[in-house]
Amino acid sequence: MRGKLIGGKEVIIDKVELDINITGSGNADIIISNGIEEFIVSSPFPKTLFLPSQFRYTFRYRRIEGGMVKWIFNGEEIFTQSFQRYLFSNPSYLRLEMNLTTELYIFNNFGGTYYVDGIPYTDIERMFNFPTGSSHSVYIDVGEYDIPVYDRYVRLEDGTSGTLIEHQEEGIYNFVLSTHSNLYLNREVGGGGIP
Amino acid sequence: MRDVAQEIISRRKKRVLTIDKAWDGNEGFIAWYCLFQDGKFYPISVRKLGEEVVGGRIIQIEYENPFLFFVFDNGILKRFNLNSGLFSANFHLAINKIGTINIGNEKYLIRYYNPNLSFTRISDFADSLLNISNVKDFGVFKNRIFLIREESGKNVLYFSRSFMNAPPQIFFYNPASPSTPFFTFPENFSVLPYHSFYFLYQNFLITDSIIYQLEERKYGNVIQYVPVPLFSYALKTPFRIQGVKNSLFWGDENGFYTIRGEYIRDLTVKHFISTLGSFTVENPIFASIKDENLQIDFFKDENLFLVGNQYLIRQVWREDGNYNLIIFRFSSFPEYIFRGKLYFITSLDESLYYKYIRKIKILPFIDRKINYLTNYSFYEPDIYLPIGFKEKITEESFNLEEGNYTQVRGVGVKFLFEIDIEKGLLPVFEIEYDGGK
Repeated sequence: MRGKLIGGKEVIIDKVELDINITGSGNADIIISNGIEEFIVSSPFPKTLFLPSQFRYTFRYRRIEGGMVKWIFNGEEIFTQSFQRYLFSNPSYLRLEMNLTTELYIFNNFGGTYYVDGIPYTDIERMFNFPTGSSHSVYIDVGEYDIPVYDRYVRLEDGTSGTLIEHQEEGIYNFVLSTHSNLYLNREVGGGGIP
Repeated sequence: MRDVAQEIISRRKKRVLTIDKAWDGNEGFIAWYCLFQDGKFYPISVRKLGEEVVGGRIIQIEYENPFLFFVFDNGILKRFNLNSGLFSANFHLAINKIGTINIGNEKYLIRYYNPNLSFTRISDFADSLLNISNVKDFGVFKNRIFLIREESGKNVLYFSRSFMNAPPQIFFYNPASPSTPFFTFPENFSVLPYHSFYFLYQNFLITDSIIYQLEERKYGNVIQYVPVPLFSYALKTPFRIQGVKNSLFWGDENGFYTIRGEYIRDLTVKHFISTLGSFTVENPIFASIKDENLQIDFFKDENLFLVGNQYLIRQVWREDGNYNLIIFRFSSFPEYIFRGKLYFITSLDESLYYKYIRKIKILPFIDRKINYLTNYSFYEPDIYLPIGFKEKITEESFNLEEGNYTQVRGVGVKFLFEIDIEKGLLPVFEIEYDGGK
C-alpha cells in the first residue's frame, strides 16, 4: 500500500500563475471561463492572474481592433478562436498574437483535406489572416474518400454579424475577403438515383 | 538532570486519530474516488456496463427497468439498456425533462417537447401524443402528472388522476361557447401566483422568489392541489436545482437552500434531477456524493452520479469538447476496482509550532463485501486532488507496511496524508511525532 506525506505551513488550493499577454498589433479582451465564473482581462497587457489549477478553462477573445493570428499556450500554437485547457503547469503562459489583417476562420465540418490557396490543411478549425480585399480560393478534395458525395458546399459568413455572404455547392470556391469572416466547409453523404 | 535525548523522548507523542470527520476546509478526510461508508473506507468495486461519447452534460437520470434514461443539457435524450449494455441513438431532441408513471399495468415515459406531451410505453416504445402548447413545466408526484400552462397571462397548474387506464386526454368544454376549445388536463386545476419561472419537482414548486409545496386538499369529493408558500428567497440566476431521492435543493453560485428553509453558504449543488439519485454537493475544491452513512468525493469539474444506490455514472470531459459517459454498477465480484485515495489533512494539535512526524501506522482490512479472487483490474480516475501547500516543507512517498509502523520524516504545521485504497481501511490512524517547540 502506497502512501505519501506532505508537511507544510498552510493548506491551500493549488493556484496557477497565468501570465497573459497580447503581442503584435491589435487589441482584444481575453475572456476566461471555468464554467461558473468568467474573468474578462482587458488591456493594458501583460497581466497576471492566479487561478485554481486542475479546473478546465475556456479561453476566448473579444476583438477590439485587428484580428487574431494564433494563441500560444505554454508554447503550443492554437489556431482556433476559443480553446479549453486545464491549468497544470505553474506558471502558465497565454499569448494572443494579433495583427491588423483580416481574419478568415475555417470550420471544416467536411472532415477531410481542404486547400486554401493551394496549400492543404486538415484542421477542423483554423484561423487564417489575409489583407482586406485580397482574393483567395478554397478547394475540398473529395477524391480521397470512397463514399458517394451528394452535396458539398462552402458558406462564407460575415464573422461579426453571421450574415451569409455567399454559398456554393461544389468545386473550387473563389472569393474576395472583405471583412472578418467564417467559412464553413460541409458535405452531405448520400445521393444516387433510381436504379 | 535529564539529558537531551531524554528531553526529546519525553516530547514525543503518540496519537491515535479517528478519521471520521469529513474535510471542513481545514481538517478532515477526503474520500477521493473511494467509498466512506459506516465509518470505514472501501475501494469502489464495480462492473462496467457501458460507455458512450456524448455531446452534453447530464441534467436528468431516471431509471425504469431495464433502462436508464439520460437527459442532456443540449436537449438530447438517450436510453441505456442495462441488460444489453447498449445505448440507444439520440432518442429525442429538444427535451428538457422526463418523468415516469404507471398507466394501467404499464410503465410509461413522459416527455414534453413543445408543443407535445408524449407518453411512451416502455415495454414496446409505442408513443401517444397530446398537443399542448405554452407548457412551462411538468412533473410527476404520486403517479399524477402536474402541468403548468400559461393561459391568457395566467399560469394554471393542471394535474391528472393517479389511477389511469390510458394516457390522459385534453378536455374541451365551455358551456357558454361549446365550439371554443377550452383546455383542461383533465378537469383538475389551480391558478398559480404569477412568477417568471416555475420548476416542478415532486410536490414542490420552485419559482424565482418563493418555494411552494403542493398540498393535497379535499373539498367534498373533489381533490385539489394548493400551492402553499414555504418561504421566500433572493437568488442570483441562473439557478442550480438538484432534485434527488430524498429531497430538493436549489441555490446559486454562493450557496443553496433546503426545503426546511436552511441556507448553506459556501457549498453549491450540482444541477440535475434524479428521483433515485443521491445528493451531490460541491465545496470550492471538490464535489461529494453524500447519502445515508456514505460519501464519495470526486473532482468537481466532472460529473459522478449515484443512482439507486447501485449505479455509478461518470461523465468526464474530453479534449474534443465531448464527454465520456461511463456506467458502472457496484459489484462484489468486480471487473474494476477504482484506485481511490484517502486524503487526511491535520495539524495534529491546535498549536502553530512545527512538528516532526517519525512514524505512522494505519490499519487495513479485507473488505468482505469484495471478492478479491475475482479477476479485476484497477481503474484510474486520472484526476488529482487540487489541494497543495502554500509553503511546502517536506514531501515523501513510502510503502505502508500493513498494520506496522512506517518510518517517515514529515515536518510542518499542517500535514496531508495520502493513502492508496485498494482494500478497506479502518478509520484508525496512529502517529508518533514530537510535540512541537
